[in-house]
Amino acid sequence: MNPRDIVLRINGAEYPIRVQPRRTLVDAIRDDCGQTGTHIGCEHGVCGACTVLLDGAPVRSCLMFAVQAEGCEVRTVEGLACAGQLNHLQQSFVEHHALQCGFCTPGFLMLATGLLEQNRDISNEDLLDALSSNLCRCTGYKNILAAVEAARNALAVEPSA
Amino acid sequence: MNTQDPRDALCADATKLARSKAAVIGRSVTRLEDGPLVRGEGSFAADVNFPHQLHMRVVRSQIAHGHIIAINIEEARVQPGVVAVWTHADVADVPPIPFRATTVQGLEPYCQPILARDRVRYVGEPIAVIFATDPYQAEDAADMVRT
Amino acid sequence: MKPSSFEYHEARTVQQAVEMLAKVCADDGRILAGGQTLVPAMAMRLARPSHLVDINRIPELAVLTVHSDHLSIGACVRHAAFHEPVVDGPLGHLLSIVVRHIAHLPIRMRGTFCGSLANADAASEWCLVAVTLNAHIHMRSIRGERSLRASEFFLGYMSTAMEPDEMLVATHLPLLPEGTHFGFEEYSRRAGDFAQAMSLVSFELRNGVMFDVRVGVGAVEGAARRLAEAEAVLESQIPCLECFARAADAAAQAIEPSEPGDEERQYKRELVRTVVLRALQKTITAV
Repeated sequence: MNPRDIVLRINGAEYPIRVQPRRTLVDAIRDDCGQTGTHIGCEHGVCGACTVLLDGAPVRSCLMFAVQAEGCEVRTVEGLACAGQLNHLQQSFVEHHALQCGFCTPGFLMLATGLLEQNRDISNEDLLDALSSNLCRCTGYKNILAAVEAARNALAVEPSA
Repeated sequence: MNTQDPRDALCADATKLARSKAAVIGRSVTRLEDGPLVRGEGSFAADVNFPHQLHMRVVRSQIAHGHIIAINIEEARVQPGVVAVWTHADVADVPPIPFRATTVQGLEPYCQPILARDRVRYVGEPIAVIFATDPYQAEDAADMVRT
Repeated sequence: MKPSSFEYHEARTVQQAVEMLAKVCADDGRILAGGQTLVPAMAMRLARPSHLVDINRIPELAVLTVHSDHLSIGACVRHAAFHEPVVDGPLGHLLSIVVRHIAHLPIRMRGTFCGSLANADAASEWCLVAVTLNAHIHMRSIRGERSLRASEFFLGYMSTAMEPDEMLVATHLPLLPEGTHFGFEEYSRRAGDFAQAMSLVSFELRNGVMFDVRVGVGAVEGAARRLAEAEAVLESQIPCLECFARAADAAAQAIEPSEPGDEERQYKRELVRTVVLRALQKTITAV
């Protein structure tokens, strides 16, 4: 089983890496590209901690092989802040106490980013349904929901960034 | 010349202290650690990354209760990337996992050894560990341990 | 939990894919489409294919086309494509309702409609849709093309009539006539869980009377199927709660639950009665 040379594009930067075909995208992002903000929770697609954006769509990076992501735009939590400044969504998580240990947080941030980018006017009901994709052991989810709803509302009154 | 009674100065300090505490008690205070966490800059256990580090994979019991007759690690030991395979014999000098917060004496026979010795007592009890240079290879080797 | 090793083959055309598959299928070579079922199985090492043929970069498989009488769904069309109705009329609406019951949103971004059919899980919503609406499933191998009706395609629990060297290339779903009434009801313990029972029903209403009644039930037997006993109760009848209840009773009696115990089987019958009744009620109240 020969390794492959591929180039991953993560948050706009290119990472040439050499991986076995079976290396998952999340392992490549974390270990080969050094971006450890994306976390591994269950490693079989049920917890959502590994959620990244792949060409704008929220996907579970533990359920893809790195070789499949070549040519795609991968966005992870490290790409949200701009020059160290937290974006609206990140700020909202802080203000609404939407994290305690912080392990599930990057997954939720990327999921919410994908949702809000696809539909700025997403309803509370649809948000609840979509955010229930991911697991959190600490917060009880209520504050996460509030944080995303508040970020959606804040983005609605601002002109497009 | 300072004519202030030292006891007045103490009172003034105490009042200032009480006022500053009242400023946060009962209020929702932003946490200090959230910044790095929402930027994905937290350092969780799995994020620690040293060059040439080893990865350990645990081989676990598939049965709920049984006597260990033999553990065959020969095939696993020679797999690519494997640096070591340990069973109880390799860690015999490590004491069993103690019970916490109890003054009860004589519990040693009931404590779990860190790797199973003569018997396994639950599905999932660690029997052996594989150390390898790559976590995928560690898991490949773990599959080859036979009990 | 990392997958075991495999040789990776990337196909750029269907012809390449079937040629690769022909070479590797005897050695447990599998097709990789969405991977939302296969990759977790590989992570748990329940599946250890020695070869994977990745079909995600074959442009013609990503295509969904509306024809005059049917919808053609390519092998790589994702579940998410159905979030908005893909065609005007009852079928598009039906698919956009059913799709929301499939797993969770990120799974729907990668998982594919045809992958669900090839996997043939008893609790798969699309398998129920395919069987109830009489889909035609198109397969290809180096030996050529063939297609099967859904009822012939599904043989039993996670078992289809596909040969090891065949791959699904498209599913054709007949468009539903304008004015078709339908209802879908699924019961699962939590949102996103596998269904414990589900029902899809549809009929045309002519002069106030039900025609071409279809009552499909899934997640209770090895494979989803239409229940003729329940359909017979409703065919040529005026829709009403009383006949809906009789049809739901007939459905509960007709199924053979795959559970071993008496109590579990009785529970499944109760679930079927409930989901069929609710699905029928939805045909009138409209979801």
